[in-house]
Amino acid sequence: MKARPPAPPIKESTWEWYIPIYLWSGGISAGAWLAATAEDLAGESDRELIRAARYIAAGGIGLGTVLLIVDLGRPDRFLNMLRIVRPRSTMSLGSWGLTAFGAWSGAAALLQALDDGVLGRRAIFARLSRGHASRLFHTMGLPPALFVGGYTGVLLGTTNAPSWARRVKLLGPLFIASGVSAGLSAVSLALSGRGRSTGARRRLARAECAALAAELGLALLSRRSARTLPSGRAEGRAPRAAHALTLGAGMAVPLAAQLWSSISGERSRLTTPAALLAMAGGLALRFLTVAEGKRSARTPDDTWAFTGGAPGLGSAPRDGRPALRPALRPALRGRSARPRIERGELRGVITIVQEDRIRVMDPAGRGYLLTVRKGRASQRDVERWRDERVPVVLRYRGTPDVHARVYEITPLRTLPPSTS
Amino acid sequence: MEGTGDLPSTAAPRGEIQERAGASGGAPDRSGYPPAEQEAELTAGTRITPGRAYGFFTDTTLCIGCKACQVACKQWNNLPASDMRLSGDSYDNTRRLSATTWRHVAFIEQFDESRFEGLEVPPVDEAKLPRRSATALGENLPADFEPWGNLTTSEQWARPGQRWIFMSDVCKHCRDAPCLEACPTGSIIRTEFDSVYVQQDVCNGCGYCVSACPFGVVDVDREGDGKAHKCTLCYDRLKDGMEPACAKACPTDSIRFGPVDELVDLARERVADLRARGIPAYLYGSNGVLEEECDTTRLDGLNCFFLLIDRPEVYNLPPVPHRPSSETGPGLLSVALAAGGLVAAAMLAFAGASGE
Repeated sequence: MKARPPAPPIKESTWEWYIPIYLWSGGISAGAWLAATAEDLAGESDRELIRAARYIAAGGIGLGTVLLIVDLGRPDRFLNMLRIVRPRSTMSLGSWGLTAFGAWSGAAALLQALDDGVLGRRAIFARLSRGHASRLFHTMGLPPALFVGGYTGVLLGTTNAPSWARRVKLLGPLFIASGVSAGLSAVSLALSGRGRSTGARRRLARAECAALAAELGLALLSRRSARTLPSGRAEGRAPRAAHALTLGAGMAVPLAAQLWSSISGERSRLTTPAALLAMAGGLALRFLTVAEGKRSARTPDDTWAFTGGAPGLGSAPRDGRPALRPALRPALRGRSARPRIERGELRGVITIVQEDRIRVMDPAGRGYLLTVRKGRASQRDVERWRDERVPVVLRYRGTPDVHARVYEITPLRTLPPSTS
Repeated sequence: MEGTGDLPSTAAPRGEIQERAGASGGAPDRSGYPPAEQEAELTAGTRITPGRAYGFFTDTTLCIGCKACQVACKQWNNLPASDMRLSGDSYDNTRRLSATTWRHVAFIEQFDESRFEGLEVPPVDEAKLPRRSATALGENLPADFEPWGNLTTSEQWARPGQRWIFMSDVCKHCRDAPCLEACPTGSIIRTEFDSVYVQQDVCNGCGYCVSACPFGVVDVDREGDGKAHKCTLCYDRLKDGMEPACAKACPTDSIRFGPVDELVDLARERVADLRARGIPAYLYGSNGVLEEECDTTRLDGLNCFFLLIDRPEVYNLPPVPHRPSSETGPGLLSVALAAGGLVAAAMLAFAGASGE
């Protein structure tokens, strides 16, 4: 009989699938910005390349910001991220970096749109968008761009998930390298349909070689480090295959293709599939890394290894035997595993309001605990109904006293408008 | 919000206190804090003064697993029930702390002697046992009285493999709190009682504190209001001069509330007493004081600390808790180095390949 897995000593990250996509799209923005800057400073200021890079940078940041906000428990409060600057909090620094680079890349996209003639062709737009102004603009945006591309690795590392925390100095470089390779690929893809810009595409391919080589090397180091933890050693066949596929098809194969096309000097048909593979590899890397950290947080032996403890100890059932005799288990399992999601209606008087939670007393004098989400009723209204003992009808989902969310709340008596 | 002291259930005992407070003057002092006599002075023997560090000393050897603290916490803080069926881990239903469970009693069954082979247990030297002073325990108690009853004598207690230990877990209110340091909104603050508090009107539920906590305490209530929650050290009660609900409810005084420096002195005496009786007791979270099995100095100690008699892992506590913010600087430096390398490589690549 299999013992129940022990309750882990730490909690895994609450992040959902939005976050790995953000980690990737932010990296693409950084890579695209680097492409625009390098082209402007060291290349030949190819207009097509710079145009694509500016739009990609702004698009990546825009998408990432939306995903970050959606992942919040209270998306309506996303601006609270900008209440303070806290150098010890990687997420606080990241919020400010994202704001700075979001504004900068947004301005770049706007400038590009003006240069493209959304308000008609004027000489002033072209002058602002090209030449010295453009070089200065790109150079100034480079530090925040690279910060946004790389801080995400540190964001994972400065937590207590052992697999991330142990690699804190590796994940930042890995993510920035992977972001640059995916960003260069995105720009290269945007240019692929055109007959022009072959020189720009060759320059991108050469830079891509360096970024992919760095990404592959760092990813191998990161793999090795993750495998030193119990969760990494006990990894199943599926994650192992996914990692191998990412390293191979998402990094090594595009690297070979880009090397071939830069050495042979021909316009290679390989660059487009290579760019697609590199972008997919970057996305897979983010998903796999996030999954590694969550799995590590769920594995008590990882925490013990990371914090100087001994494996195998910790958390019930202690003695390596099942906590309950097998005969008792089915009886417990018979009752539903989780409280069923029900809908219900309740009439009563609100007796206690504490933040979003309210306690309601029904006519029989029984109390119920429910949660009112913002937008269903204002806190002030709810408090007035409580003070005036106004009977209310509540419709909720869930089980009162456990998890019940009110989605409709109607007072049975209207109060005169409040004087205050 | 209703005044915290005005709930009907606490009306009776408070009436008496208010009367006594009235007798001794009763006017609020300058700080706006309640009058001369506080409830905490009667129930915890301590006066709650803003500016001093308060916390819990949880003595796991006194815990009987009654869960009164868990229930008191849920009641006072209006927290919804968790899954009410037994989890299958001993007599545990919640299994761990969560956004709606701020106290959790861990039930640790140790009935398998083979698991403890090779573990050194100091022998009990009866001669060295301190004679219990009659005044400490009451005049009428016999000299051989065992405070935890005859079922587990001190000798048995010292022998793992025959014991069932309990530990009432709670937020540790770290001195250098990783959750506070991680919070990007400034929602998590340090209060005037040196506790760590999540301001519910600021939190936006980003969840970074959840990953930062070395003890798995704070959690985001995704099924409820979407914000982070954890033990508040009963901030509302402290402001009204009352000790936290869990400590007040604890029938064995396993949970002691008070100023941290006084609690550490108390704990030191208790450890010495237990060790004299052959029990390998030590402290967890006292910032180096009698912390043989662990080291919490990276967090500068915990305001809520514990007395343990087995390895920290057995209680699901990390022996050396890690402070993530110490890695922010080195991590960002490594990013800067890598970014510099990539920029140089990109410049070289773009400069070296001219177009046709």
